This record gives sequence, structure tokens and C-alpha cells, in this order.
Amino acid sequence: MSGLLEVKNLKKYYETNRGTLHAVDDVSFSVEKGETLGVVGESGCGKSTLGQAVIHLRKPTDGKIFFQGEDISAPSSKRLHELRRHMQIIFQDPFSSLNPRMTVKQIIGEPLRIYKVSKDKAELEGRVAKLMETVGLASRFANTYPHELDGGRRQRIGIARALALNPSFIVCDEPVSALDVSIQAQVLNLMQDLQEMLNLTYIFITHDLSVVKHISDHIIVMYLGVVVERCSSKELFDAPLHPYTKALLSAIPHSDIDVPKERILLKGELSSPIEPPPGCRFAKRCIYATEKCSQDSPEMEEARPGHMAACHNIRLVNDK
Amino acid sequence: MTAKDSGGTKFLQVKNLIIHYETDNGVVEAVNNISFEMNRGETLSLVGETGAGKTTTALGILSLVPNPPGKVIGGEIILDGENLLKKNAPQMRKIRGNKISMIFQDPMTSLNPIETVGAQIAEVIRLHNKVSRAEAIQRACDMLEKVGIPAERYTDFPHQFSGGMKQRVVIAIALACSPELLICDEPTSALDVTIQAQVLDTMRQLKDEFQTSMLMITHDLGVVAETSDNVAVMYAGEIVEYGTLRQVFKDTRHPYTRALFDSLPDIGKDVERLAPIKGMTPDPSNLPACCSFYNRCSHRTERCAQIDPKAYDAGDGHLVKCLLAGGEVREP
Amino acid sequence: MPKMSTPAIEAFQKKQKARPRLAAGQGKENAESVSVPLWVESWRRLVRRPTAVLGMIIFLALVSMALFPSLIAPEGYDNQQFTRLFLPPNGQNIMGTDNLGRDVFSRVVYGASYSMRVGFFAVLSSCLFGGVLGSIAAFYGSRVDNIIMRFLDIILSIPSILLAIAITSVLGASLTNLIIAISVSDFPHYARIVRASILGIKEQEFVEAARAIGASDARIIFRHLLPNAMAPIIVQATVGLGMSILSCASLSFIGLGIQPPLPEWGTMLSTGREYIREYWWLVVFPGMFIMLAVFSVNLFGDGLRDALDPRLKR
Repeated sequence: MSGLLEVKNLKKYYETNRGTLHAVDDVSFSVEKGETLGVVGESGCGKSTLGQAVIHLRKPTDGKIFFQGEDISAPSSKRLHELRRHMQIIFQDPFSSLNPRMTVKQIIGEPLRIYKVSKDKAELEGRVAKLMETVGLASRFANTYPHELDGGRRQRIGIARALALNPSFIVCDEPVSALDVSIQAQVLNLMQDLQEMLNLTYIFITHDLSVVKHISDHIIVMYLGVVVERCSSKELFDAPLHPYTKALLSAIPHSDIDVPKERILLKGELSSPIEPPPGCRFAKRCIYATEKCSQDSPEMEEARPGHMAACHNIRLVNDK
Repeated sequence: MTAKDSGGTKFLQVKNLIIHYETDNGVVEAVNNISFEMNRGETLSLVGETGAGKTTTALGILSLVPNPPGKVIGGEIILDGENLLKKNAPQMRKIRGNKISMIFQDPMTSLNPIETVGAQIAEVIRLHNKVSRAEAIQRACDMLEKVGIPAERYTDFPHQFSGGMKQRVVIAIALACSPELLICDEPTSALDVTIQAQVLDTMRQLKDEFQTSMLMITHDLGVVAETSDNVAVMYAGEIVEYGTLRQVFKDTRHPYTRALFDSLPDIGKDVERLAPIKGMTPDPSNLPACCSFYNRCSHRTERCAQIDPKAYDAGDGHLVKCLLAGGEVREP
Repeated sequence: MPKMSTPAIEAFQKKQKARPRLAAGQGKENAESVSVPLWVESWRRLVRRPTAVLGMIIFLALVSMALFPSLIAPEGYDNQQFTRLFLPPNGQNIMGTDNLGRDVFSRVVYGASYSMRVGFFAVLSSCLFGGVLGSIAAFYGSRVDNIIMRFLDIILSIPSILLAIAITSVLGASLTNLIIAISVSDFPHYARIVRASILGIKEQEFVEAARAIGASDARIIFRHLLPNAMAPIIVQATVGLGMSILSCASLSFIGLGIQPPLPEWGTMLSTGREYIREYWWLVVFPGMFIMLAVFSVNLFGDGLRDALDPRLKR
């Protein structure tokens, strides 16, 4: 498999006062061109760190990253500057991710100025205007400040900024979590349209399973820094294998009051990612946990064609 | 139980409540003439998007609307036969935390970081009950156990708890004086789904145990479906649809409520494109004279631009603030 | 690398137009269509505060005195007339005359230009120096931060007036040296304030966003961090202006600042001191102006702090 982006055994550790924090631990995946990879998990599972490490906003501790076949695990600062043109990010918080002292026009035009893409001011303004139109921002907002706009429009500014340099790959870090449902749908549709038209590749990070189902082709489920399940979006929702994924799916409050609910209530809460003990990270909350689970950590195995899961008791869990 | 079932007096009645904020940029009409009622032990959800006036309504009930700039312009809030808007500040202080409690959205900031969680629960108990220190501590420990936290953690500080645990502590504080009305402002929005499921479960059990009435404020239709008896959908400071859970969720009448359901990505369905509601919520400092949803409505007619519709009864107390429901216009 | 070709964009935009649901802003856009720059908004908040306006008016009067002394003062500052020694305030000389028969009012007016100049340049240089050091310390953190901040702690541990005295006595008494002396003892305050506010701003996502679009460190500091740290700097600068005027007067008073016959307020106080028993107006008027200057700047600074704080916006 040789996708647009390939990540092998990526690790990101932080040194803290209480020991080493394993934010991302041995994560591998690949993304095909024009595809969306959903990364799902709860807060603190390392999904945002993963997204930032992939595009070198955080320096990975270990592991390999290939972008279009090129090894970009440790790029020179000149190469990194060049790479930024092709790999972009959209942030979660449309409030804090835009500089409050800059106008919409300045924010969208900044990457163009940094890379000196435009010959003169007129060309720059023209490009900014085009970008604003592309993301559905009316031109009269060009000279407004972000705080005067609502969340949905602000997120469009963030998208326009990410698109400014014609990237081929964008990490979307919870881009719609801070938005109201009706606005959320507008922004999600826009992102899908853009992907289709500009042949973009997304890594879509979210905690919202219904959003990720809607937008992703493949999904990886993360728990405490490790990937527990990886498969196509449809497969994940039709036939989840890992006990954590099952619990996660069952926990979503459903708005259809006539669908009977079978809820798997997990016990306890996320344990600490600092110096995690050996064994399966999920063992403490897992109803199927055996002695083996707290001793060795399970490897990712292909349980069904194209469907990988990391669980010792995958048969037991799914043969009920 | 239906919304029209008004046998005897209601536990909480809000009648024609109007709350405005007077700001430098004009008057913000946050809550415009809303009315709803609750029975004892019942849960009513206020659903709506940011700026719909949900939180202001809740603060209004507690007399906590920040003044200035906020101001209750009119209406009545009758709890157990007494109009809360007529109470003075000391009387309200007695009611808050005792008869009515509130749970805020963010568990991280609603706890005092330099006091142990146990002491914070005991403080509320001592504030509203004449009990000895020892008894307050005992009751605080009981409360902790009730929300699923071992009593040994009485002496722990908030930063030693995770988000879900903190929200449990907040719930323990809110329920410490067995309030008759519990107002929850997005109680689980800051939590992860698996933790949310646990907390909602705890809240349901406690509600049954204490027979508390709950006013649930949320934007999450899934949470509404799981917790509520009755639902009021708010838009631009008004209640646009009001009825039992089944009426609102299964016999949805107002175009806004329908659009809200349609714009949700649903885990049970496969859709290529979502159907968002076009446009934005109107500016609350400059509301249109006609129906406030007119600009975004896909069923609008000429008549809708002329009058502000009243709430029509679509059967069995299912109130819908739309000309469609009144039969005055037909769906185009 | 795939380039977003122009036809692709155009095709996309056509598609967008065909879908009315994506046309942003269908409804009325009232408050949003009139965009007000941040500083205009701050200005509006400022002029609503009477004390700030009062401070501003007094301060502007003093500034105009400093800028155009010859237009305001009836005489030159060194116009000695031995026929009118120690005249009390009267119709001709509203603040009286001094031991050499010079008009006190004229000297006070000319004095403003020295005090203001010292205050302004001292604040400017300590702002620049402190601002750059503080932002570097905050931005790079760890060792750089440690070294810079410990260095500043050393300077701060020396009483500032003592430091200024030491510097002026080494460099000699002149206007420039006075400015240097005051700036050196003042800039650590600015550095600390800038560092503290940048530490907070640094954590916000837009800094990360700037890094993601390839912005250099310098660009992040000067384009993204400093503009957002401006409010506390401006406030400190106004308060610092008053302090600098006071330090300037103190140093001149002890003979290390502006030398007579130049009419700096502190110098005037110092020479008038000998005659204070009989001829009070020699010290009262310069003293009053020092007080007015510091007072007006502080009032203005207080108002500015509130005006620049967006949280106080209603």
C-alpha cells in the first residue's frame, strides 16, 4: 500500500514531572489520495497530538512518516517550510485560532504573503477574494475582524486560510465541534464539496461519531494513545469488533425515541497516559478483560478482511 | 403526562417571561414572551442553538440575570404558588441552592480549586440547614457515594478529579439540599460520550430517588430524547414548539424543529449530504416584526412576512408557533 | 504537486452559486455589516469615562505647552530683568518672578518641553527594549527565559533612583544621559509585563495556526504576539510616563539632571528651595505642574486600561 500519506510506528512522548506521557504510542496508518481518514476517540486519547505530529507541528519522538513516497520523518527546516505548502491544518476553535487583531483579508492573505505567491498587492487581493468566494464568505466581510462574525463564518475563514496555498492534504482537528448543529451541517457540506472539487485528502479528527461516520472513508479508533480498531467507515458502524468501540457506539444519545437502546455502560474513567502499565490500555474498563490483558499489549490483527482490531479476546467478544 | 394535563396547580409555571439586555449596541431581546409549565418530578428540556435564550431563561428563574445589562421586563415565574419575581434578594438567596439548584456546563470552573470537594458539598448543606459540622460532613459523604464517588475522596481537591468526576461532584453539590427543582445547563456537553452516558445514568437514578423536577438546557437532541418528558424548542428567544417528547420528536410540526432534525448527521442513516438550515439566527438586538424564522424557513409564504404567528394547538397541548399549524397557510 | 487550477476554482464557484444554501448571510445582517476597527471601539469606550477625558485634556494642554512654548509663554525662559526680582503673582507675571527676575510662568511653560521630552523618550526606549526582551523570553522559554529574567531581576533589585543616580554621575548630567538613566532603571518593568501577557497569548491556537502556514519566529512575535500584548504595554507606558517625569524632576532636583539656567521643573524646585520661606511661588507652581502631569497621565492611563479591555465591553 502506498497512499498519499503513510505513517509507521509514530510515537510522541512528553516528559512531565511525573514521568513520560505517552500521548501517541506506536500508531500506523495510511491515507489514500482524495480520501478521508477519520480519527475518533475521547479527550486525552492523543488524536489531536497525532494530527499535529503528522504535519510536524509537534516533533514526533519516533516513527516514520512518508508523504507522496518521500520520507519526511525528520525534514530540514527548509524542506519543512516547503512541505507546509502541501500539508495544512484546520483548528477546532474558531475563536482562538484567528488572530483578533487582524482583519479577515489579512488572515486569509497571510500564507500568500509568507510564501510570496503573489507578484503585487492587486494579485494578492484578487486571490483572497477568490478564496473567500470559494468558502462562501461574502466579500463585504473582507475588512471585518473575526470577533464580529459568528462561529460558522469564522470557521470558513480558517478553511480559506488552510486552502490558500493549494495544499493536497489537510488535517481537520475537530473543525465543527464548536459550532451549532445547523451551522455544523453547512461547514461539513462545504468541506465535502471542497474535497471533491480540489481532490483534497483529509485526516478528520473528532470525538463525534455521527460526524465521522458521515464524512470518512476509513476510520481509526484511538484509546489512550494507541489505535484499537481500524477499518472502513461502514464496517465500523455495522460491525464493530473492539469492546471499546462497541461501548463508544452504544453511548451516543440517539434522537430517535423509538429505537430501543442497548447501552454498554463502561465502568471507571480514562486512566493516566503517564507511564502506562504493560498490557491492554483498555483492560481496566473492559468487561471482557482477562489476566492476559493486563500482561501483554495486544497487537493489531486482521480479524476480518480489511478490518484490524487490537484485542486478545476478539473471538470471545464477538461470539455471543 | 402531556403538556395540557393541568390537573391541579403546576409545580413551576413561567408566564410571558420577557428578559432584555440593554447594551451599548442596542437592546438585546434575549427572551421574548415565553411560557411553560412543569409538574413535580417531571423533566422539561429547553432545546435550541447558541443565543436562543435558553440560559437566560434559566438565570431568570434563579433571579441571576446579570443586572446591568440584563433586565426582566415582564412576566411571572410561579414556583409552588409563589411568584419568584416578587422576592427580594435575601429571600432568593434562601431559595437558591435549597429549593432550586443549578448545574453549569463547565465542571472545570464551577468548583473552587482551593477547597476540598467534600468541604464544598458540606458548605452548601450547612448554608441551608441547621446541622452540626459532623452531620454536614456525614451527609456530604453520603452524597458523594450517591453520585458514584467513594467517600474516601472527601478530602481530595478538584484538580485530582477527571472531568466526569468533577461533574459528579457538581451534581452532588446541586442535590445536597434535595432541591425540588434542578436546572441543568448543558450538564454533559463538556464530557466525552462514554462519560456522558455514565453521568446521565446517575442523574436519572438520582432524579427518581429524590423526585426532583428537572429543567434541562441542551442543544443535543440525543440527550433530550434520553432524559425528557416534555420538550420546548427555543429559537430567537421564543418557544416555537412545545409538547411531550413524543409529540415534538415524532409528530414534529414547526419547520425549525424539522430542519434541526434534518441537519443532524444521524448515525442510524446513510446520507450523502446533510441538509443544513440556510442562513443564520437573526440578531437578537434587531428581531424582525414577522416570524423570526421567516428568513430561513423553507415553507414560508407571503403571509409569514406580515404577521408574527401566535402559538397554535396542534392537538393535545402540542403548541406550535407557526401559521402552518394554525391552518392559515398550506405547505407550498 | 497538484495545483488548484483556475478552471477548477471557477467550476467550483459555479457549483456553489447553484446551491443557494451555501450563500452565506441570507438573512438581515445588521450589526455585522458596519465594521468598526478595534481602536475606534476602544476610543468610544474611553471617551465615555469622564475622569479619563479630564486626564486627557490636562495632558494634551501640557503637551501643547511642550510643543509650542514660544506661542504660549509671554517671555523667554531666560529673560532676566533685575528691576522685578521676587515679584509675587500679579497681572503681568501671573506666577510671579524669580530671584533673577525671570517670569515663572514662562519658565514653567518652557520646562514642560524638557519634562515631556525626557518622559516620552524614556518610556519609548524602555518600551522597545523591554518589549523585545520580554517577548523573546516568553516566546523561547526555558533557558533563554531564565537568563533574561534573572538578569532583569538583578536590575530590579537595585533601587531605581539609586541606579539612575549612579548612571548619571558616571555619564555626566545631560538630557540624553538622563533619558538613558531613567530607561535603564525602568525597562525591566516593561519586559516583565510583556512576558506575562505573551505567555498567555502564546498558548492560543492562532499562534499554532501561524506556525502551520510557515510563519517565521520573528513574524509570529511581531505580527501575532506583540499586537495582542499591546493593551497592557500601553497602560504601563502611560503610568510609566508619569513616573519618568517624576524621576526626571527628582534627578534634576539633586543636580544630576537638567542644569540651570534651563527651566526643568525639578531644577526650578531645586533653585527655588532656598527662597521657600519668603517666596512660595518659586516652588509651588513648578511643583503643581509636576503633580498635574503625573496626575493627568495616571487618570488617562486608568481610563485607557478599562477601554482596552474587551471584557468590559457590553
